[in-house]
Amino acid sequence: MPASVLQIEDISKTFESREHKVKVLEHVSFDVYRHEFLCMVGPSGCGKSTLLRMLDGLEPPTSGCVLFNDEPITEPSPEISMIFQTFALLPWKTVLENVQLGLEAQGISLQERKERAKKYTEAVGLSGFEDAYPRELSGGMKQRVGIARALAVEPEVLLMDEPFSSLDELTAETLRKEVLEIWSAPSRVTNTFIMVTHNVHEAVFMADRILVMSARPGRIVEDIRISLPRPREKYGHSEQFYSYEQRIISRIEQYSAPTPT
Amino acid sequence: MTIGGRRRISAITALPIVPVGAIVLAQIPILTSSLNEVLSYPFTAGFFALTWDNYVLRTMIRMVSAYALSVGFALIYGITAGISKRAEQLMIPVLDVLQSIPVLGYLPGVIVLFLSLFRGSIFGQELASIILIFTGMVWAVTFGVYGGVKSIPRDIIEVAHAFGIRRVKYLKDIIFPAIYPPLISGSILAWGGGWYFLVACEYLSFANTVYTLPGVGFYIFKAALDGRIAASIFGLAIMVVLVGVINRFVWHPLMNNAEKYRYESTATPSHRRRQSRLVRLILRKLRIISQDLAKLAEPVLALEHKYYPLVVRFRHTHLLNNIRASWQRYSKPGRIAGTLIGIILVAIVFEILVPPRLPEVVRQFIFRKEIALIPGYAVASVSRLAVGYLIALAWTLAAGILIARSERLFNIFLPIFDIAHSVPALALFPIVLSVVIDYFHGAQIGLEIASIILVLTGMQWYLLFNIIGAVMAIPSDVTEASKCFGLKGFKFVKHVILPSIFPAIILGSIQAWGGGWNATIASEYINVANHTYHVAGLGYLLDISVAAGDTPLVLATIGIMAGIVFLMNRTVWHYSLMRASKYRFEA
Repeated sequence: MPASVLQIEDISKTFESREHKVKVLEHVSFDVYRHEFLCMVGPSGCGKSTLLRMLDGLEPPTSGCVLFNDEPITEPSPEISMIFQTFALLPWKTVLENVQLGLEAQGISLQERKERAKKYTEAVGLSGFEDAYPRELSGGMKQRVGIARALAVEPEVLLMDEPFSSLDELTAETLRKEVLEIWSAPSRVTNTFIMVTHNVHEAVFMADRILVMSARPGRIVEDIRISLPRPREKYGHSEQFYSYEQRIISRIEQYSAPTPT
Repeated sequence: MTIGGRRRISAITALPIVPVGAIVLAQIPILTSSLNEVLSYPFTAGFFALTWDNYVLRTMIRMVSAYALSVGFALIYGITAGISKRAEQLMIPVLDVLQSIPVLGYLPGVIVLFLSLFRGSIFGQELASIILIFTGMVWAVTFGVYGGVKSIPRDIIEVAHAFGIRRVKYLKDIIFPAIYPPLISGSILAWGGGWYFLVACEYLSFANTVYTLPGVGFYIFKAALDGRIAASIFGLAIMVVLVGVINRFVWHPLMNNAEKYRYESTATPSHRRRQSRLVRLILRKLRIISQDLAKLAEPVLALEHKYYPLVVRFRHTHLLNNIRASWQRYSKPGRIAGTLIGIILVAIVFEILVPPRLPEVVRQFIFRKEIALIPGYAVASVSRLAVGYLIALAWTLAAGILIARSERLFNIFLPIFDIAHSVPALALFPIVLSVVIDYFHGAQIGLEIASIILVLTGMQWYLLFNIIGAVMAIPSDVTEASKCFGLKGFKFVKHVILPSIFPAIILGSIQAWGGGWNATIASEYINVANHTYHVAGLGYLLDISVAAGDTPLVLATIGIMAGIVFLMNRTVWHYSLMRASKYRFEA
């Protein structure tokens, strides 16, 4: 058994406003192992994004706890980094300045900051665009900036919140392969990837393991190991790939009727 | 929403009640004597017994008439400018200039016109007052309508054409729904402005005569002038209640209703915050108005950029370059000859076309001693405004960011500010003045401070509400990303908050300076209990020239004032706005 990086122990989450309480997660427990590519799929509103934010310490659980290398997570740390669906770039900063965001917060010297930002900008194929502003970039390029920004802090774990869902399919396809390359490159510090998606095909294509979640309040209803060999391009239309997809889709459908709270 | 939930008072809201309660209890003797003062004030007695409802009613009739006129004007002017590209080129700059004239700048013209039309009857005075309130309301509404027409998405226009929707049907099904939401935003701003100037519009002084129009504003001001501070505050309280009731029963429902006519939803409710219904409503209002304002700025800027680049882009003026280029094509003697011919031509035109009497009048006017005062007075007023602006910017930035970032402070302060900003500060001037002058024993510095305080009250709310609206509108993904990458405290403010709210600060500043100029006129000169106080400034000059009925001087002062406002808008603010577009989050 490989060592677990993250341990999620019996997490529940309830959002409370003055008028109503919404229970979004209920008794969620799982482990994430080193070098793993984990996907979480489920119907919209099942709390998978909330779960991801708890792994980063952005959102505290109502009960239960998240352990990172056996320490409880209470606030965001540079060891865990995140990629956003809407890219979340600062429009007034250039590509290079956006990539430096996390380094700046850590108080790294300007010289080193620039060098590291350059290195990762190059790594995601954006050389020549260092001084461009986000608005001058296509969606795919913006997400590359998001990826470079997340990698630049050299985290152990990379969280991705539907990273490809606001891109066109061709761009998404290319970026998926690139993300997999980054993940599988042996020299990288960042080697544990956790991705939230509602695209089942994407999940089967990328993940070692898929957690299927029920509709609100979200629970984990299935934990599937994907044992297709990599790279998986040639298996996209195989019997085995299809049966994984079918199994996940039927699970999601089975649990998509919201249970009364 | 449960009734129990609304009534529950959280510990934090209850906390300030204890000291406040103690202070209130200690004030009881003073309060009772104040109450006595209010009741014994002859004016109040009448106010209660005979004309209480008439005062409120009369004020309401004035406000509603002025508003109705504003909407009528706005619909015609705004829709025409919005539809016709050619009309737009002229109409929008004209609107921009008219908007730069402070409300009281219209006073002499309006009074002379209506009093002569109606031979000094009450009806004429009423109309004059309504028109003055109108000049305070109409610009926001008109720009709202124009912005609404400009915001119709291209594909909607194409759909309308494709399905043959034309003329009346186009107006009814495409134009009206599109202008409804920004019209409501503009109306909320307009009513705010209307309340602010109500006092000045019910107590008109021109050519050594004071025209008083019975109403709430008049009551407040008269009581304050008579030194009846308690009575004045009582009048203010009535006005605040009136403003609150109208907001609650007219503007808030209309605003909610207007939401469904928007092409894209603007104000996304932040469902995770624990907010009362009232706070959420105020917040929505702030967001909607600030977003409408931002959207509005775009077509106006684009228009200026296209047709009037000279003033906006003073650094790269194509026109000047062209002239210089063509000028340099001639040889040196040619240029000298050209210059001489030009001078002679101008002289001939001047001699022939200008009637012989006019230069004499102009000369007499130019050499009057007041004219020589104008530059110095302009500097004095601008400095006073700048000081007020810096103070306003400093406190609203700090408070706005703190409040918007903290749920507790937010819930406590937002309703307080919403009420506070509807208090017409103009009416407070006599009170502020008496307190400050007492404190400084009548020294000029006291007057200067009172004047700056009043200017501040005319400026600060625009900044505060724009800042709070903008901080709340920062996309949650961006704040999360910043948190995720460890940006905290000062770094977060510097790298994320300040750049994000920069466009809103500029928009707020434009409004703030407009409000400030209006306040200047009222804050530089006042006559309390037969004693006049004044500080040097354009507002003072305008006040005395209006009071004396000195029309040329009035026109000169208004011209200078409007010129300064217009120039500042076109250079400082619009230039900053264009730079600010870089700081906008993409939709």
